[in-house]
Amino acid sequence: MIRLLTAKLFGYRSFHRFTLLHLGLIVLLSYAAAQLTLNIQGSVDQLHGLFARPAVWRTIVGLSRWLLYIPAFFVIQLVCAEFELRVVRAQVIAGLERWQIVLSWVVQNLLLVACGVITTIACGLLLGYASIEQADVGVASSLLSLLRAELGYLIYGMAFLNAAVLSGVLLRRPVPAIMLLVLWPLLIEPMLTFTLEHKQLAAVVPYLPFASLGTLVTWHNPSAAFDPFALTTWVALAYGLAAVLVAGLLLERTDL
Amino acid sequence: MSAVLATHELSKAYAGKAAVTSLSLSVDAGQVFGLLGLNGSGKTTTLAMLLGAVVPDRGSVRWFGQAASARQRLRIGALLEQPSFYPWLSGEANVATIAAIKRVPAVGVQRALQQVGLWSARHQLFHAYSLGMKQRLGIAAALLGKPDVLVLDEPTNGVDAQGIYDIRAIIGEFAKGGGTVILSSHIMDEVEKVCDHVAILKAGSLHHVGPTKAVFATGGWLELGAVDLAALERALRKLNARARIEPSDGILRVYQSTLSGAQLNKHLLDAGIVLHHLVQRQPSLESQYLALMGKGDPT
Repeated sequence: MIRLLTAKLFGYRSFHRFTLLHLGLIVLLSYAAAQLTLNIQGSVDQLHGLFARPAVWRTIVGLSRWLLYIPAFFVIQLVCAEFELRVVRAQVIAGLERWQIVLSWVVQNLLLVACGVITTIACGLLLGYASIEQADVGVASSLLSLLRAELGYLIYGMAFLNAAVLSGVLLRRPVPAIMLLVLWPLLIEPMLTFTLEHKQLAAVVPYLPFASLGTLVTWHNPSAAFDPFALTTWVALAYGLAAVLVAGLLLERTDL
Repeated sequence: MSAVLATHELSKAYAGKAAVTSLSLSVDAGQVFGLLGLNGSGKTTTLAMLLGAVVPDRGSVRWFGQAASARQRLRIGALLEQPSFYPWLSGEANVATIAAIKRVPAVGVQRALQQVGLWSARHQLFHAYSLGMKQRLGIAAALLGKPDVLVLDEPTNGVDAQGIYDIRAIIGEFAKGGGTVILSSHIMDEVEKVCDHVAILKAGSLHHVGPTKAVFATGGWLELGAVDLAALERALRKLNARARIEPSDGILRVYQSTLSGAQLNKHLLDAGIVLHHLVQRQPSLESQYLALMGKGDPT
């Protein structure tokens, strides 16, 4: 399975191009912006502050998150091709177990998330801020919570994409399945939360799949602002595991 | 010979409609086994069940004497319907993904691509391949790692004349090397040239099975011509009472003759009839096949 993943990811020329472009643009834009703000030091202290340690970490993460649309093209391409049942069939025929296919999807998604995070860290290091000091970490209580924004966006985007494509394929009705998945986070969940009172909201929202995933995206630690959201990471994880299990069970009985 | 494949009472229905019903088959090692049938007769569903892509409702599949599993599929090279690969990966990278599953080293990828004549186009993306190239790539993936069995579903679909010749040569070479081939095809000429055994499916059920020559040994007629056709017909009826005799363009056609052409010639000569036309005709494989399927007369 690992050989399959590496053969696939190394074979994807677009993976290399998009990752390099993502990395390159973060470095280039950060460097250009840093030079610019250094040159106008004094006049725009606020801007200058963005590229001085420890705030630079926040800037890099923000920039990296903003530039995520570049590798997103590749991820969409990859995930859509992954859920083409004929490709899955070719792999089953070649000798892969169906559970191995589900596992390889999960590992592949984790790898892609890891790529995004590593790219961000690498950018910070490349820009000359190699050592992380206590002050840096203090920017948002910890480096992990700083990276949470990027991680959250990645997980949210990948989960949404995977769920949409997988449902469409397994239900063999791509258009209604994708429409439902678009309407659910955009319309149904917000409407539900809109109709609830504050107390009910606190009880229900953490258990809504996309709302719970969405809170992972938030910059600030949500638990501080709204106590029930402290659950969301676990709820999101539970939903993720449930989705993997359902996908595995469905795929086991699906005619390819 | 040992059975490479054995199915027992294999059945599959889609939305209540039977696609394959109680199919029991056995393919021995070294056979080139053709699976024939009209559209919708269940050929692809059968192959898909053999290869684990479709889950049977009932029955069992045994490969190499063991219940079918992913481990056995590693020993099988297969191409089912149209080849399916990652559209944004190159031909070489796509074959490399299958090689990774089959645990075949990189040199095997090169060999397979060279075998199907795609080595020079290995860097092109799969979606940019022509239909024939895609088919060749599918066969390259099937040939990876020298499998014991090749399962090919309409392998010459969309391939040009040279490609068809090449694919048949590959199949022939594979069979010569002792490999077993299971092939489904609509093209009777292909079956005649390639397969030594054949199974005919009709509406999901096994209709005929056996050596190709035995299955298609039906039909055949004699054509006879003489100056006096009326006298010839009278003599033939006397010699061959059960035969069906039909006049056709100045000759007579004799079906179901109990006597051979040489025997008839001798008897007719003794009766004073000199033949100026005597030909043994065999119906085409296609017409015999259609006749077997109840779709026409073998003649």
